[in-house]
Amino acid sequence: MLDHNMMLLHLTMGNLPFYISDLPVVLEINLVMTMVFVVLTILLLSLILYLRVHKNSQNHRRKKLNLFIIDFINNYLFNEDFDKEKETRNFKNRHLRTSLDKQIAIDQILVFAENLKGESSASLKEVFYGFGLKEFLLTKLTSKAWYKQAKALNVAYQLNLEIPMTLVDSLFNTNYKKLRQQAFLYYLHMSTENPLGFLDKVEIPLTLWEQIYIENGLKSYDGETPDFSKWLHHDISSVVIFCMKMIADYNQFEHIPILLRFLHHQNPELRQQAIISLRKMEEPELLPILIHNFNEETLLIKHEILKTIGKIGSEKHLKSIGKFMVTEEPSLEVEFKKVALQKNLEASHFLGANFNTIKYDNLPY
Amino acid sequence: MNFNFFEFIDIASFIFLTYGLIIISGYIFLALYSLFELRDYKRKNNFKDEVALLQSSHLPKISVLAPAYNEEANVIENVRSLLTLDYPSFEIVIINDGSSDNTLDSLIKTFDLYQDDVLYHSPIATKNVRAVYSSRQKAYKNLKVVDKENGGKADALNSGINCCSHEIICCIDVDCILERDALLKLVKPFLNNNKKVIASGGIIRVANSCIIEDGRIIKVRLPDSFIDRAQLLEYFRAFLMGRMAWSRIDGLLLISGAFGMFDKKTVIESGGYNPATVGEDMELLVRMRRLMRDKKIPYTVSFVPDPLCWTEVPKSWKVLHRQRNRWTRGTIETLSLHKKLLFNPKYGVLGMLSTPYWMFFEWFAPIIEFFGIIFLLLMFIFGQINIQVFLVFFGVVYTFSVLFSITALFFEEYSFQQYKKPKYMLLLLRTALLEPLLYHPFVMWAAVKGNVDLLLGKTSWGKMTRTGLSNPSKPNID
Repeated sequence: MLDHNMMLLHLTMGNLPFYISDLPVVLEINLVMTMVFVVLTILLLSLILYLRVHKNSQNHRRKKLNLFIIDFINNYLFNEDFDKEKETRNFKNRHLRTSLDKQIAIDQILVFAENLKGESSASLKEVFYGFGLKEFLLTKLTSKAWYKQAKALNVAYQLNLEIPMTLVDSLFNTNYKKLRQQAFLYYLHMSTENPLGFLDKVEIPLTLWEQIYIENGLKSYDGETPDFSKWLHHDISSVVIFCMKMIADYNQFEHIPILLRFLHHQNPELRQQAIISLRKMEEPELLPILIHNFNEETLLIKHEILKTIGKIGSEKHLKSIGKFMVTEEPSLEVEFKKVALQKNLEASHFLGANFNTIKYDNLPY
Repeated sequence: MNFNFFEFIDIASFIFLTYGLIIISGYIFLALYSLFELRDYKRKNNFKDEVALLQSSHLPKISVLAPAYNEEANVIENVRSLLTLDYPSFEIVIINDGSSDNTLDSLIKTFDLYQDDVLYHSPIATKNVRAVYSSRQKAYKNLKVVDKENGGKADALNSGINCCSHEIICCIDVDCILERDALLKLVKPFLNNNKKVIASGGIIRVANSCIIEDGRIIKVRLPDSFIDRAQLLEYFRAFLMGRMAWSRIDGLLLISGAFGMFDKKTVIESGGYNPATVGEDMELLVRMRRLMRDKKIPYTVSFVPDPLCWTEVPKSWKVLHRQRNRWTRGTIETLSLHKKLLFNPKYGVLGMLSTPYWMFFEWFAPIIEFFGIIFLLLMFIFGQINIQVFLVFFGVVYTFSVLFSITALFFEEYSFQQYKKPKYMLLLLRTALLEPLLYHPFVMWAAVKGNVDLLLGKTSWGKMTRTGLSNPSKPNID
């Protein structure tokens, strides 16, 4: 076997220079590898050097161009003698030649857009179009690279730029999470009547991160607050959960009856969120239902019920729960006692006689 | 039995060569996977819109757990720094692990603490908890101090897990420096994943020589001394290359004890940190992964490469030796406790790739390298090889070590470029050239010694003396 390997190695090394191929095969391999490593090291060092120079020259270009653009935009917005059309054309031809230049221009326009509203904002859009950046953005949006598409959407919604909705629709169910988020935000910002309309088209569960993004997007939405109950019967439970959260956050008390129905839903996640939202809205009808269901509930929901009693319940509610807690988990006991303390009550008065405090299981190590 | 000495040399040479080739291929794969992972991470996190999310009331609450043992000198400043983290809802739990100095007293005095009769459930057995303290001041309402009998880091963390209030826990070393947005960045994988995330780890950066004010890194500087810089290179290799690659194939076995976030429920279900090992961070993660596999629950472990956590690395060879000795013992203990995973297809990547990698490349590598060097020296001494042959063997090992470090430098340059001055790059290059000669043999010896110590039954952590980061001009007390 060893001889066979040596033969193979000799064959593969047959074309090496004489000072290598004359050596024993183990040494030949080592020498060749040494040379490969040296070449790779030099290559990587050159790459590091290239990256340094490239990043530095990009930063230099960015600094320089930013000054020109700031000056241009200030003139465009505030100088009445400024020949907008001619100067825009000149600037574009002189300064915006590469993709980097265009990206720098977009970034700078976004900085202005953040601080300007009304007429000035419209003027900024003119600059954007005048620089031919819309075409640049559309190229990015139709590119195959998801991160370019995501960036383009990000710019589009920040500048309120209209882009064909067909391009955005297809992105609501993409597997690239960042792209999906940007598509949601674009829809939300550009919509005049139905900012959450995209939820109708969502077929993949919303992650908690996406829900927080949408929640955050809604905070800056200028139109009328959407009716979140529209999606309480969505096929995807994460969409329903999100809407339940929003109903509580936006105090849409008129939807309490629907939320109460969720307390009997077979999905424990939906039941749990319904409890949290109704607790936030301090709904008085909530506790009788929870106490009735307590014994049949999962441990997690039992914790939520105890928290709810702590927040909006009374001694009577705590007492009704106490009798169910004989064989329960020790963590529930602690929660129960915490609630009792909160209400200035002696927990032992309510707990069953067999209620035992914490026992340690055998640890797995 | 006919023993042919030359045949033995041939066989041994081929064994070392094969092992070397496997290691090299392994590292090449790691480098490639890391590159893809870093590229994707950069693309995904190239947006500036995440800070706004800090206003959300729906972000999960986090408990930050920091064990402290005789940290009197720095604990106040460290806690102050932790209190200023940018995150809407979090608590800080400092666990005083039976300090013999004034750690507890200074905490009580500075933060106006009182003994709180807080109720908590202790699903994990720990040494006796003497008291739990809260602050009377509103400004410190999210600070909790647990005072307990000394039981080691693992035991202290277990007490923290028992006492803390929230479902996501972030375990840190009390003396490390976190970036303001560290919690948001580390919690993101928990929230943005279709699978259940049981843990998420962050990159650890070297803070030696950096300029620090009010518990924050103001200016990143390259460490002044060679030993610090060599460790910096090592951290680049371990985090930017190793862990990024393992994260891509979901095969991470270790989340550094200095900075990691966990799903508390899974930690408790796994039994918490194991106080009987010195590698409690690795052991916990392996046990958590094993539990999820055994229960057939789809899950993942995530890794965030942003520079979020800065720590002081050993400044003296003596302390470094102790640290590496302990790391080796921790690795062996974990692999021995979970030997069932090894080449077990039931555990997927974990069984077929991660544990074999750790066994052959982390545990065995220093031993094989040590015997390889002895073998080479013996051959040289007994005249079986001449100086040219010796140099050829030495050359391949040396050039590979340098290549590996330069690759890590390239990753740093490609990703976060923290060391911007050209002078720093030259110093790092010089360190990469010297490290295989001056530093690597030392850590290899510390690892070999770790094996020996474990065989001899040594179980202690070894004293880890730190000079403290708050005042860089303070002399090294070790």
